[in-house]
Amino acid sequence: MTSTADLIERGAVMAEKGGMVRWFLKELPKLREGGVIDSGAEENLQKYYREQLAAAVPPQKYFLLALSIVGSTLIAGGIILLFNYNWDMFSKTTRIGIAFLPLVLGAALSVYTLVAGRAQAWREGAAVLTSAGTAVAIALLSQIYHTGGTLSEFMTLVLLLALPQIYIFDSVALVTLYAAGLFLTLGGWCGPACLLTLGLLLAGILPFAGWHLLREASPYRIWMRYLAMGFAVFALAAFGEKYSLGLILYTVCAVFLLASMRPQEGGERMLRNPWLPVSFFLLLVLLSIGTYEGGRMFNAHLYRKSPDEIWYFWLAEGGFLLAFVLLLVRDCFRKQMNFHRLMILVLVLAALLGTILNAYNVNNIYMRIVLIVYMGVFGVTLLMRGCRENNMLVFNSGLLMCGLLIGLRFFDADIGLPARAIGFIVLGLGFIGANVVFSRKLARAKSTEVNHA
Amino acid sequence: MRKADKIRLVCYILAAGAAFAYPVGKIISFEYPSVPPHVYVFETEIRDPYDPMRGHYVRLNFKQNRVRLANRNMKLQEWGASCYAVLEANPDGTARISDLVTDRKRLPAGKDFLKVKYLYLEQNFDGKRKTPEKTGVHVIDLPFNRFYLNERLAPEAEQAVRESTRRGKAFVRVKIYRNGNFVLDDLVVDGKPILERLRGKSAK
Repeated sequence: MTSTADLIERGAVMAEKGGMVRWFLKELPKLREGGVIDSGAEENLQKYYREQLAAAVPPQKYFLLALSIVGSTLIAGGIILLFNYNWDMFSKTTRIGIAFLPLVLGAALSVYTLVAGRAQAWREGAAVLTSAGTAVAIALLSQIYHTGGTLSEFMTLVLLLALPQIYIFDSVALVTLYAAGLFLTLGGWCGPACLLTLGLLLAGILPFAGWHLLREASPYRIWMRYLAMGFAVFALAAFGEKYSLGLILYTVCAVFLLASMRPQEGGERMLRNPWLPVSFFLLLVLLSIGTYEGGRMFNAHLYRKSPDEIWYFWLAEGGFLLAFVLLLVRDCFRKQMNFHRLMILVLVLAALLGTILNAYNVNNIYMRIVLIVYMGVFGVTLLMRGCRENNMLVFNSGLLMCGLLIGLRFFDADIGLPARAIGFIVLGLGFIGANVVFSRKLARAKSTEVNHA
Repeated sequence: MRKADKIRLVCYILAAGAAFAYPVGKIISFEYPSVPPHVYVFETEIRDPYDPMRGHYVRLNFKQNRVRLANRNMKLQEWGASCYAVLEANPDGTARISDLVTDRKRLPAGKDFLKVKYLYLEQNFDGKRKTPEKTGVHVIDLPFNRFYLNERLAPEAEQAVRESTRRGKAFVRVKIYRNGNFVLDDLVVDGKPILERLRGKSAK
């Protein structure tokens, strides 16, 4: 059975591959004329690749699928508005009947899908329709009886009831809606009881996300990487402010940076490994603030906080720390430990140290120095690794980190405007110059490789 | 049918059962309560906001949102935290909040109550010292703040109440159940249910 995500993935690959195949077909006559292949080989290759192109699903099909989803959503919205307009014409019993209609349809579709063993696209539809039907029934009953309630209470109930559907149908569409719906459960003030509910809603979806992230053959793996960032942002929004936002931000950044290293070393492209650019950008921001704020970055916000709320913060922080340790242990066992993984471990330890020092009101300057040294060392070692491995991305990451550190500390210093201006010009020229030199080095390395070949 | 789908089907029946159980349970608790609900009347002002998906509805602004308690006049909770309002009826039939408690176990037996949101304490002002006092009026948010009406009728309802509040009063009749559940029964303007009043007006 082929899942929707698998189809979409294959479609994307085919769109990319299709372009490459067409390019290759145009190249074949040139290869024959150049004497690389004979006319028989050209004919065979032409035949083989034209068959491949004909068999491939055209990318337009996926575009049409997306359009049909948007279209049916608009139609459903229009029908809801029409019902809304004529709502008070119906008796209470009719209104209750209408409220249950989508849920009944969802149930019928789900039973049919499972009994007939239909494909994943049907399962996605069944999961979404059942959950949307539940939401519509609850919302309309609340309207019929004028029972009020807040959006966060409503969403909490809807998500709790949607959770089993995600697992039953292995539905990536519903898990995406779930991730978006989580943010709607965040109300204004959230006490311990509300934090427990938010924690349970998040904990409920983590096994699903974890399963698809760990399974290399999972068709949802890449999409789940994007959703995992959404879940982390939700955890930050729900629990981060309850004690030390700085500490949990540093930990989250370290977890995603460490998790992104293996796919990056495996040569995965940036779009398939979104953790790397996002966590690296977050690291730059956090270090930039940290080198200025020092220990204040890890301030514990205890004003109007109950012990229960602080406990929930540590539960969330503990979860991230556990994930970090597990990733580190995995890398150790796979003998993938290197200097930059150790640097990420140092980042977490530095954040914990900063929190402890701040709790004991130790002078702010120590933590500032620690973070400045850390940023400098990380930047320089990235530069060196980039040069050693002829890796433009790593080289520029190091350059960016070093440039940012110098720029920020330079901006901080008590010097006149002309001197600052010259300093920034020198930095900019250095940045461009380093890239030019590095590009030439790369070109030389490539030509040497070609000559050897 | 594959074995995995059989297991899925059983799980689905259980999950869908839960999804049906909640709204069905709500309907049963409203329509067939074990103890009949008491009807309380809340005095209100109304406004007619617009929502792109829900259309027009009437927003209710209750006078009972400000509660002065003789024995409990210090700040009770943080902004937005839940507490319970104990209800009693005034001699004129309107509802009165006789107490606010933070713990459900401390609710007096046999009394009707509502779960409300505590907003803040509006502190009294000491005129002599010209400083705010620690005591004051509790400001709460009652859990019902909207009454759904037809697209065409909501603006007329606002107008009708605006006219009537110069002459008479607008009230909301709320059925309060023993477990703290509630249902808005009707919006009454000048002694007449709002729909009856508006339809009568349009018939003229």
